[in-house]
Amino acid sequence: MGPMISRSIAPHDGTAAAGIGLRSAHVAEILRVRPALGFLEVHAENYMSSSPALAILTDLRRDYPVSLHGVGLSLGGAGELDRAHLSRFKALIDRLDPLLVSEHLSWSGIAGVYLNDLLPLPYTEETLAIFCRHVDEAQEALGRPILIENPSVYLRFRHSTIDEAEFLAALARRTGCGLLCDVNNLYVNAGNFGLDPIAYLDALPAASVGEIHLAGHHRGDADGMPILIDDHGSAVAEPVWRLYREALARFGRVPTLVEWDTQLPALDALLGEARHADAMAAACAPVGGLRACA
Amino acid sequence: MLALDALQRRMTAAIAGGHDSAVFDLIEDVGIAPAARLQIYRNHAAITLTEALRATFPVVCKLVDERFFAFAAYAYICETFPSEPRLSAYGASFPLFLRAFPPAQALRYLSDVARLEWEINAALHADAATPVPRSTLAAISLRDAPRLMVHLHPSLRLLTSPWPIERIWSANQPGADPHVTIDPSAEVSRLQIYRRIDRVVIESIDAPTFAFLHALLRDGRLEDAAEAALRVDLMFDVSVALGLLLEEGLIVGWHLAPAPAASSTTLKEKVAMLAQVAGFRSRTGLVEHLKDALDLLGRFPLSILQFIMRFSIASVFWHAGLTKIASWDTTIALFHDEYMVPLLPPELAASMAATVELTCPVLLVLGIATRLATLPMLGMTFVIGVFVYPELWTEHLMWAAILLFILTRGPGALSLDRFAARALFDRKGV
Repeated sequence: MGPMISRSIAPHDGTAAAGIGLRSAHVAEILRVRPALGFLEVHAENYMSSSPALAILTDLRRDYPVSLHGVGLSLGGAGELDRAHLSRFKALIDRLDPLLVSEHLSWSGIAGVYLNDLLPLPYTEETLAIFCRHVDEAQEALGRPILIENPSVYLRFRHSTIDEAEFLAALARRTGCGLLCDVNNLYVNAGNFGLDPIAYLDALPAASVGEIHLAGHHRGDADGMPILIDDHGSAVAEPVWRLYREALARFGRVPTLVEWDTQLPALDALLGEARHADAMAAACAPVGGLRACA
Repeated sequence: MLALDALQRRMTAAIAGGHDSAVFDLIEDVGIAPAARLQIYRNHAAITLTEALRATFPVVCKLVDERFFAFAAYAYICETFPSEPRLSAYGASFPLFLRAFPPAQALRYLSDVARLEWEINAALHADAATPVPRSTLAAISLRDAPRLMVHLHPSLRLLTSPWPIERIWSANQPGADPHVTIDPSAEVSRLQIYRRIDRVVIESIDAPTFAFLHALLRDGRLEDAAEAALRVDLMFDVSVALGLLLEEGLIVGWHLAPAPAASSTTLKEKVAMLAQVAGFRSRTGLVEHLKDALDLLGRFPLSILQFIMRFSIASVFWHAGLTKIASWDTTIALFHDEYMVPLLPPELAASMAATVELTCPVLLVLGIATRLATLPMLGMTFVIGVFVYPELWTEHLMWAAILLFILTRGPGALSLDRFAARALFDRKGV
């Protein structure tokens, strides 16, 4: 696989390997305390200008590996990729030399309108061809392989013909990209659409999975019916932890991120989640080798 | 099967615009209805974009309160979706939107506060650049200065408003005094906004500095910027303004334009500019105009002044002489009791004084042997000033000054001396 998953994670104190999403409310404390963490992940789009935030991230980069998580490339868009955005992404990669670079199996807009969301795709041969072409272009422009994340979706298109896990497997096979398995997204989608998450994990090409995401969700309702919403606004739910153990068993101890974007807790709570992920990963792979518990 | 491009156009219209029921037919209708599923995405867009606007316009949000802000933001989002993925680039037209938004009309300064917040955001996210050291510009040769093009820091931007928006903004920062009151119509704002290391600086500037920076931002040509500033205020000092820009780290580069621009600036003005730029000496527009005025005054004929001096000092002595001979007994008595000139007997002193007073003024006015004629008068002035009325020394010093001027510079053109000199020696000066 690509260099991003063969590269070793350098834990801050030799034990921690899970990372957290870096959010501005926590920056001051992280700068002061420099807690043990496997890596810090940021949304790449928030650092695509010469803002003070970029200077801080560049500083933190000296102590932590950084993972750049893109939310704006719109790889599933039917139109052309935004070349200006790609070159900004490349400049950020050159500056930070990130451990991981990832994007989503989604689209965000078309014809100059950007909807600021990760929108669902119809899984068809046409979409697969377009998505593969865009991933090829992106990997070429960014000069490295990227990871593609399975999204949380709230609607599916009638004319989809390919199962999402199969779609991702084909994508990885054709483009050489890696996969980012978001266990919470999988749990939310499984709940909302009655899928078998274990079968989904089994269908993913284990060797391609280079990162795992964990996050919280909440139970809402739409049209009077219950629905799980992937809002990254709470602790990782117990069933998601169980699914994480299943993922570890299949993919090995890959870099794991705890995301928490809304209703941010104190940094300690987030670090606690990361330590919990570490403990589970360690229990699964006590000697630290990849796929030791598979 | 609908092509991906067509599907995404319909979806975009449905999420950004509202009610495209045709898109519902594309969505699996199991459990939750397609319309409700689509609504999840609409809500998400509205919430995240409102959040982005709130992050960029926190003071606007504070001025109108959360609910009104969400209401205005939603109306704005419906008509203006982002055009690129960086949320820091979203909201450029929000200030203009607020200006035209009927429910926001009561707060007439709101739109301008929003403009300030947008410029702060833009300065925060502007490209980085390294300031040039002060010595760089000082090294530019005098001859090249009119061609100097200044590159300003990418974060620098300017803003004017009829409202005191900077004070309104400051009063709504965390930790500001909550009791401060601001009269919104009290003042006009002229602001420069830029990033210094990791924070944004907002500074009030005066009208000529604003004109200077505005012109510099437009094309970078120092000469044009100086002209723009001087049109606003003749006292504008280009060297001081450039020095401040250097100090603030706002000059990040320079180059020389290929050829001097065709310009209405006169050569003289250019030379003055050159001198300023090269040396950062304090040479202002005002000084140039003062020099012109002085040149004009300097052209007033000296000969007229010399005649007036001769006439006025002559009158003083002449009238004293007339008084002395009008009552000679009184004069002798005065010399005896009051003047008490040393060494000379009073009668002799009185005769000498009267003689000087009645002859020298005539020579002075006519301009005959003028320099020679001043000598006895200076002698008398000295005697009076030192021995007779020392308490009136200022008056006598004034007489002496006039007489010394004529002694050293001559009577000037309006004199028989000059006429005689021309006739006899065919040369000027006596």
